[in-house]
Amino acid sequence: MEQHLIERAKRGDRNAFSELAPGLGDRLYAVAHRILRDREVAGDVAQQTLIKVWRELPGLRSTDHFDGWSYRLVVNACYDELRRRRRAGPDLSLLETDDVTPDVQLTVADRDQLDRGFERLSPDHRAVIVLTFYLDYTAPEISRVLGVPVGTVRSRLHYAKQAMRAALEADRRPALDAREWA
Amino acid sequence: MNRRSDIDQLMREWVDLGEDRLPLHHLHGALAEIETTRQRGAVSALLEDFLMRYQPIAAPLAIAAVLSVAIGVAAVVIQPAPAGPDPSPTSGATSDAIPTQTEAPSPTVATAPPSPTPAAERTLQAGGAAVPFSLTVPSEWERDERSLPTVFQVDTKIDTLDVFGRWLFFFAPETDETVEARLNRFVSNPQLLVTEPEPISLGGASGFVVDVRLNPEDPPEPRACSRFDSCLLITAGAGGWLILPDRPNRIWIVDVAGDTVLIGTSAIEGAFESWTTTVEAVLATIEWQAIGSAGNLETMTVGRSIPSTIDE
Repeated sequence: MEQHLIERAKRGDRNAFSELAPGLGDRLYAVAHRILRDREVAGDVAQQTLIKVWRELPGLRSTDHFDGWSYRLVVNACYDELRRRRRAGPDLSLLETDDVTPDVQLTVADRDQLDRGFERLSPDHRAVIVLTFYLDYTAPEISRVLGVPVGTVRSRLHYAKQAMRAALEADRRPALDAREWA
Repeated sequence: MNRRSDIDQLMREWVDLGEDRLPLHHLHGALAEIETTRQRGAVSALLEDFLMRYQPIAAPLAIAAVLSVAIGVAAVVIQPAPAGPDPSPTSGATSDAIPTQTEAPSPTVATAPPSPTPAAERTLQAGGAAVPFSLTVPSEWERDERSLPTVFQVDTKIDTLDVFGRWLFFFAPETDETVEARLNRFVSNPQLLVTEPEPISLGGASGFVVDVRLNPEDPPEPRACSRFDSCLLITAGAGGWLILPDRPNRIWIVDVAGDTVLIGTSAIEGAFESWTTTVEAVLATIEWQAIGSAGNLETMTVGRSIPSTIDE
């Protein structure tokens, strides 16, 4: 059904796109929210990406690649947003937390440490974390989404996990030099 | 659990904590902009794709193409002119007269003027609406039978009816607010420019119609929709009704058997009059289940409704 809608939207059918948009918007927002950790900015990014998906859709070679292609657009939009923020200086909204009750396996302390660790990650490492653990994408799939070699994906994932693990262990090693994670 | 799988499991649980639903005002904002956004031409997209894929041979190909054109032009220029009368100037004029349109026509203008006596009619029923109703539209406005009519029941308070690719919002706020009280909220809002309320009757429901624009002299603070220069006109559930600076809104507020119902639509400035005239012709056919006979709806309805696809 969705393939059919994508084909029609690709040919310029706005009605088909408006049927796709709610589900697609949710998927783009979910990824953007996890990378950016900010509801409003993630909403803006997902909104702009929806518009970009519509505008660029005729250039998509095969609708089979729609998911990966749309995730690439939203990840790139997140990169732009993060770069813009870094140029603008620190942003307190990065510390925003959700009202979701954490799973029993994940303690509040763990979550706080992971939030802080994630904040320190580069946009590239954030994207790999989200694509790996949220979308369950494999390294070759991520490679296609991000347009980088599989080896680069693996090394980014390795580094990102190492940084997140270091963040988790930070409370047990309070004297750890911050430069070690940066 | 070893150290590696332990961090993997924690990471999975941690990323699951994020949110999964795009707030409705962002969705509506995107759809409103898409309404006036052209898709990139397929030809330019394919050309760009070709150049990206075959960058190494693009330069030789371009040189070859330029040379071919140059040789062709040279062959025509050095050819001796045939004897006889001067060539007719009409050939050049004809080619100039042919429009070179590479993209689809702008979608911002209403698809068709309202037809007073449509050849065929089609009745749409908002079956999941908070205040059920039916509408009749000329069938020639229907661009694609497979996707129209489409009714998204957002929650118990809002219904969004997609009519010929544009949006009509139906609100039945869960408050006891009268038509006059709701109208007064718009009129007294300094952030809005509201026209003189005009009494109307829609399908036997009486009320008022007004046009609403953002007041450029009194911009909304804080902006309800983050960086975008816009304002959330009505909040309902997780979303609401967005008003943008270059998009006037027409709002009908009517009393349907004791329920205050708001109907709204918008278009960009240049298309607003044409589009609202079209909408008025459609709204003139509205039948409210609470006012008309319920049996009548059953026999008239030939459309389909898709309920509850994006309920929050």
